[in-house]
Amino acid sequence: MIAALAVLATLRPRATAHDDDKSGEGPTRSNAEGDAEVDDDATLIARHRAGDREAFATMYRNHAAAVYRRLGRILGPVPERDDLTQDVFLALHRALPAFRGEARLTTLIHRIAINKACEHLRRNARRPAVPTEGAVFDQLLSLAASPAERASWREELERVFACLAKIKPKKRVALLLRVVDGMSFEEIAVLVDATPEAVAKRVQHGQRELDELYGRASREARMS
Amino acid sequence: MSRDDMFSDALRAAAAASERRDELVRVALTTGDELDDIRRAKIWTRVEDRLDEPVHTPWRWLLAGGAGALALAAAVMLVVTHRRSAPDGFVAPPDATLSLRLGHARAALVGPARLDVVETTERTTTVALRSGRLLAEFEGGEGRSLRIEAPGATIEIVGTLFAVDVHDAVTCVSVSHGRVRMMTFSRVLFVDGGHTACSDSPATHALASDVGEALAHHAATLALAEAAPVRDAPGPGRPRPTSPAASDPVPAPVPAPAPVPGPGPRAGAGPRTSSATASASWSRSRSASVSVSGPASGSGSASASGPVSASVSEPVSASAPAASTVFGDPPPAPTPQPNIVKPTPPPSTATELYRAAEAALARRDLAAADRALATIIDTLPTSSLLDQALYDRARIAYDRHAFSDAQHHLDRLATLPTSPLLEPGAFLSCRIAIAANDPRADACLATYRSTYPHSPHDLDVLGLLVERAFHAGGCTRAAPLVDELARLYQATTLARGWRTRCP
Repeated sequence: MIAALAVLATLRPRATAHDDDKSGEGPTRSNAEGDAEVDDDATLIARHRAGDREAFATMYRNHAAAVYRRLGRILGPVPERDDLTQDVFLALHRALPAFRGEARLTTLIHRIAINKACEHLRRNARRPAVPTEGAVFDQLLSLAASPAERASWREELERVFACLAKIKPKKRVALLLRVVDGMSFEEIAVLVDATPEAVAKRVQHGQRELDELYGRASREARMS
Repeated sequence: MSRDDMFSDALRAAAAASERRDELVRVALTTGDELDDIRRAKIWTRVEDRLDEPVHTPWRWLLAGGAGALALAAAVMLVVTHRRSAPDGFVAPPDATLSLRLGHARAALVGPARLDVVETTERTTTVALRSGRLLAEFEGGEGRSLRIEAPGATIEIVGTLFAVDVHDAVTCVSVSHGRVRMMTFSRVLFVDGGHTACSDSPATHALASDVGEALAHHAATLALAEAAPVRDAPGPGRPRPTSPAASDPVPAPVPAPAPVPGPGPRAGAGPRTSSATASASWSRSRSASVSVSGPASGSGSASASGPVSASVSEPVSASAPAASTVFGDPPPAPTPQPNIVKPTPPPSTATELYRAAEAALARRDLAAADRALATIIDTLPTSSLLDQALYDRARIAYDRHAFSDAQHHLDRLATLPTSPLLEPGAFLSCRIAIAANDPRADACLATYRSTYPHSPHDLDVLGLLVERAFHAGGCTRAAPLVDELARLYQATTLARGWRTRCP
């Protein structure tokens, strides 16, 4: 298992903590940079309200990759990510006329993305939990030394996704923002519109549930 | 060991297990989360198309909900009805090959063979191969799968070119490219490209030459069929992603000068020098037309309103035995109907070809997209879309792990005097070097940074260099690059992460 993790970890060119934030993915940025972005976003929103279609296209260009990544980090490599990214930007387009600038545009976009991801999880609660985007699985498993090892890794990954699928969306989102993105409770609270205390509780409960589910699944796998 | 030590060890072990699991979660959720240029453009196309849609008011939602409920009820009825119906099946006699459209798979049933269609939905198809050989190319896509039940094994495919042989209750799966999951009573194994696995043997072995040739021939036949005019080709204007079933019909048959009498359970052979088409309905909710070509034309094709269709090729004499038998629900009295389809001229301009490629990409038919792009490159080398076609072909090849092909396209792209795609092409070239474990990858990345110092990918490239240096020599070797990363991109989590790891 450790060897598998070591190889799996090398598959991704950048480690988790390396998420580039060039498109303002997270709420953590330097003040100067943040202010510049706010200015840019304010200008874009103003242009958009004035009927400039190119402004929304620019917003899409600036934020599409981050939205796609955010969805992937909550849902995993599911094929619906394209459709959900599309939905996020359509929802953004509808939300912009009422947007009064209390939060940064980035925050708004990520809130929408997280809401869409939660909706998707609720909608698909009864569907198979394992992502079906074969290419990503293949990418994850392609460095396995042998077919047997590949099968073992695949089982491991399927088990992880199956366990995650059993955790309620709100807890899952908080847990993954914490574990995968390394965000603080305060940062997560901004994105999920909750208090840091509530987020901490969700993370704690989610972690406990994941521990129990994963442990049970692993035991069952060993016994079978 | 004291009780406290044991307790501490247990705690440490639990923490380590939890950390390993978290790492697995991190890796699983961050792999493949990059939005590539093609996908980004495709999503934008769909967003842009829907920006002007009116916002739905509540009463419209109610209406839509009602209509949806009705549609759902109808769909449930259809599914129930469909599941209750007896399976449809195909029999290919000796010396005949039956071309089949099985959902998203284009298959050939090589006689003598028998195949039953167990279940079909929009995305999934389940068939049972009773005997003989089935050659198929399955177009992968969102949620699509093809399941083949055979004696002693069940085979699951999500996108590949493969063959299944059933002889004497032994099932063998041969894969040309891609990967197939084969489940026998005792095990599950993955059969990779160039290999064959049989239900009576625990090991896989190399693909036999005759099967390889048959698969290559099948692929070539499909490629030829693809090159034929396609109905419902996207017209002028922006191509919209459509379901493969609607946008990628089987090749249109040659216009038939004279219909032959209805085929009934037996499809008669057509005139020796012409092909003819006739239609027949034989199941409750499904109809198909079977077109039979004489030996002179050498191939046949079919179109169907249902998910399964068939046509017959008879590489034998005109007096050959019945080409195929389609059974299942008893067919009604045959009512011959000419099913003449006017061929649409193939796309001729680079723009049309590129739109065809985009449409193919939208439905994840990479092979068709690649062919359309190749046509641009080969036949319209002066087109302004040449660079785009080369870059997209490289991306497709890269996604298929065909790194040398991808690099070949990028090399040609690099020879163009000017193109906005030179920079992303150079970046892709470095990523290919990394993926192919090319020792020149580091040099490629360094060259890229010096050539394109203001590239939007600079952060990614620098991150890759840090990562590679770290793996090669730990923090000592990565330190200068980490410093540069922290200096140039200090606010990013990437820089913060590396600074934490290599302080």
